[in-house]
Amino acid sequence: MTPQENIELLIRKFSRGQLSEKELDELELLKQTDPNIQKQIDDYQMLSVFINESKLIDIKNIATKAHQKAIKRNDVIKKAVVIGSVATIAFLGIAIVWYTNTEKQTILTPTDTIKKNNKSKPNNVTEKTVGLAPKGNTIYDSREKSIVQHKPVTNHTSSKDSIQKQLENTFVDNKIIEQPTTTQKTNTLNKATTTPRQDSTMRLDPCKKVTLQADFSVQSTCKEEQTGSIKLNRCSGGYKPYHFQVYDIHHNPLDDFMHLEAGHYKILITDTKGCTSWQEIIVPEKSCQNHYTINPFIGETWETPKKDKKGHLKIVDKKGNIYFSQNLAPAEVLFWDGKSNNGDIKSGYYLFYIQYEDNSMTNGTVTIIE
Amino acid sequence: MNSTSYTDIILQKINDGKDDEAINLLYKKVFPLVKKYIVGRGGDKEDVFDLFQDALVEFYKMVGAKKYDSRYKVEAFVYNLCIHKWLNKIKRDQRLVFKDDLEMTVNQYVETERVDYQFLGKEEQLIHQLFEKIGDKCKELLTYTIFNDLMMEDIVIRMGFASIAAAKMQHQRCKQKVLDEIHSNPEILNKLKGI
Repeated sequence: MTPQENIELLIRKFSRGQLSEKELDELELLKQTDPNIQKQIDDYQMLSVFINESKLIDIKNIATKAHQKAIKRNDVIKKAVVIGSVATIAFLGIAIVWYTNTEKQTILTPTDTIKKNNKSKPNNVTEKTVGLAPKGNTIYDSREKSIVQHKPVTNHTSSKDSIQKQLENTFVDNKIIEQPTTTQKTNTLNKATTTPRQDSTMRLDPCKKVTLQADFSVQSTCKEEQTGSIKLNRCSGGYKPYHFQVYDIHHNPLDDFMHLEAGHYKILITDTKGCTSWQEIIVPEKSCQNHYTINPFIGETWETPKKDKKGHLKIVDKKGNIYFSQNLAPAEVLFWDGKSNNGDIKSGYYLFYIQYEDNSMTNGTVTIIE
Repeated sequence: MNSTSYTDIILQKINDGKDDEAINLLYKKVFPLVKKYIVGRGGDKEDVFDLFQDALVEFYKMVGAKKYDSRYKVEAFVYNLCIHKWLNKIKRDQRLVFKDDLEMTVNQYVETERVDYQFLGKEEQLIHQLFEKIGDKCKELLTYTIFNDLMMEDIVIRMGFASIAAAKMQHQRCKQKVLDEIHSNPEILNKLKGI
């Protein structure tokens, strides 16, 4: 270290108050011998103050910048919050207005739709008031004809078609209305359960708050026969009129629900807005005694059990003479009025036998009284 | 990040001349707490930053003078400086003092308040202009030697000088340049002589 460097070090330490006694004495001695030392000390101290103050000003500036940056950031956040709040309120307002308008439209739309459907219905679509006891295959045949003859309605939206298709046969307040649609497919039906009918004017789901509930009476069936039935008692929720469609376990739509075999059935309830609900019904089985008594003189008939197979009915008197006989088609229900093959009615005790094509047999007795 | 390492990081950044980073860290950590304390006790929101800035200067002075005890948590130290400064200000303004609420987390650091900074407004501008003349390099070099009290060997590495001799020569030149500027500016000279 040169003498000058040594002096600078002493001055530096002196300015910081870091000199030892010995070093202080040394500096004092130097000051006495060299008058320039004091000037160096003064300059250093002046420089020191200047640099330190400069540094502190820098610190202040940096802090100010940090503060301004934070204020700016806070302002941005505040603005974002305000804009976000305003946007949310505006959005909610628009949504409420839109929802209100849509609600009005959805209330009006279903009526319009029904009218449209009626107008667009082809002439040969039949509307029959038959109560809940259609005469078996008569209606079924008629329906099949309709299916062949009519094409689906094409002036509706595709989603509407989808729903219309699933309502192949519906009954409305005890009226069976046959819709001019093609045959149903299971996947279409399943889709319909989750997707409500969507008209071009219907933007919100009108079925959100709708709970359709129907109350049915179920008549059990005799063992291995088709004598069970489902009857509607009442329906609530949704918008009238309601449509019902009964499906068997294989999702085939049924038009006859008075001659059902034991098992599970599903009923699709659809209100006028297209809201749907599925209900499952079980037709129980019971063992029946095949002993029937009829009075054909007052119009009573004996109803043969319904089976999905060909059969031959024989009614014999107590002596074994054939009183009446007839072939039965699959699923045919014969309403026997007590007349013999000759056309006369004799009161008495008769035995009946129905021999089916699979060699199974149903037998019992029919008593004709006057 | 625990407190000790936070303190170490701040001190290291100051030592490395990374004041921007150190101050930003302190601002983010301490300023909201100070603001909450002061505003929560009826203090003026506008005063908070001035107090924080003064506390920061105080803290830097201590670090520069090697008087800061690194066992203290930096954030607690600056926070307490702010609170003390605010309480002193209240005393001066003869307002209410909530002494009971004050909790010292640093070992009874009490600093007599001195807000008589020599350079305010115009002087700040003069210093700024002066350093513009001598350049950033000289300012950095002189800050390292005088404020940070670093050894020439350290400065050589930090500033990338070719040798210690080159650094010393540059230091000498810068020192002389600043002194010449100070002597040629009577306003600053008078101010500095008065300190």
